[in-house]
Amino acid sequence: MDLKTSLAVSASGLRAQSLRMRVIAENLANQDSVARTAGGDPYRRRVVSFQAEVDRASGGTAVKVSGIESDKTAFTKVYQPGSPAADAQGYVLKPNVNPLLEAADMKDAQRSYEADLNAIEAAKNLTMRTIDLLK
Amino acid sequence: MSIGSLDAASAYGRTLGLGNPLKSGGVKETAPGASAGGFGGMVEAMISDTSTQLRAAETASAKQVAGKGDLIDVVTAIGSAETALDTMVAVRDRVVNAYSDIMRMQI
Repeated sequence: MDLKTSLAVSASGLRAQSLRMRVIAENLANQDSVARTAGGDPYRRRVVSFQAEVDRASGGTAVKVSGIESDKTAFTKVYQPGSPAADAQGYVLKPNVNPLLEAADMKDAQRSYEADLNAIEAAKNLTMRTIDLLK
Repeated sequence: MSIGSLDAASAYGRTLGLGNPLKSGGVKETAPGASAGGFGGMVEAMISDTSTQLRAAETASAKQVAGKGDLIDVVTAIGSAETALDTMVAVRDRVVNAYSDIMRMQI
């Protein structure tokens, strides 16, 4: 039944968006994580990429996380000679996490998740109303 | 219940036969054969399908309570079990209604 397939597809969307939320949470939590050794690389921001995937059993096109890649933009340099992560010149590399960017990304993930929830609710409602025709 | 409807149909056939000896056994051959395999088998398949889905939903919820499951799996499993159960209950009510309608029929 197509309504059942649409439920499965929406569930895959929920799963994908919740993984995206997890990665955003990791980025936000690690926005101040510096290297453990002097002059080392700090935490590198990670981004999730999605991919369409046809489910052979139901025929629906679900979404799947194709990978979690690291963001290649440069780290910011801050002069902090007292930090254990500082290099010979006293500079510390800070993660390439931009809190504003993460906040916007989080809102986007939240909206997508809500849209999937609404789609599930609508499909479920239609199924129930179809069953009610029997009563 | 399928045996009950079969009995009712064959009793009806026998009563018909009493009135008209030429048609004796005519109803018996068609009606009971069709209702026994069709409806009984359908109910059995629906019940086993529903119980499988309910069991899957239960397993998913138990896993979630233990902290090992995925909330989305629980929601989808319970949703599909609910749909299956509702469909089964609706079909059952419908058939039981039809059955009692037939039993209430004036002969």
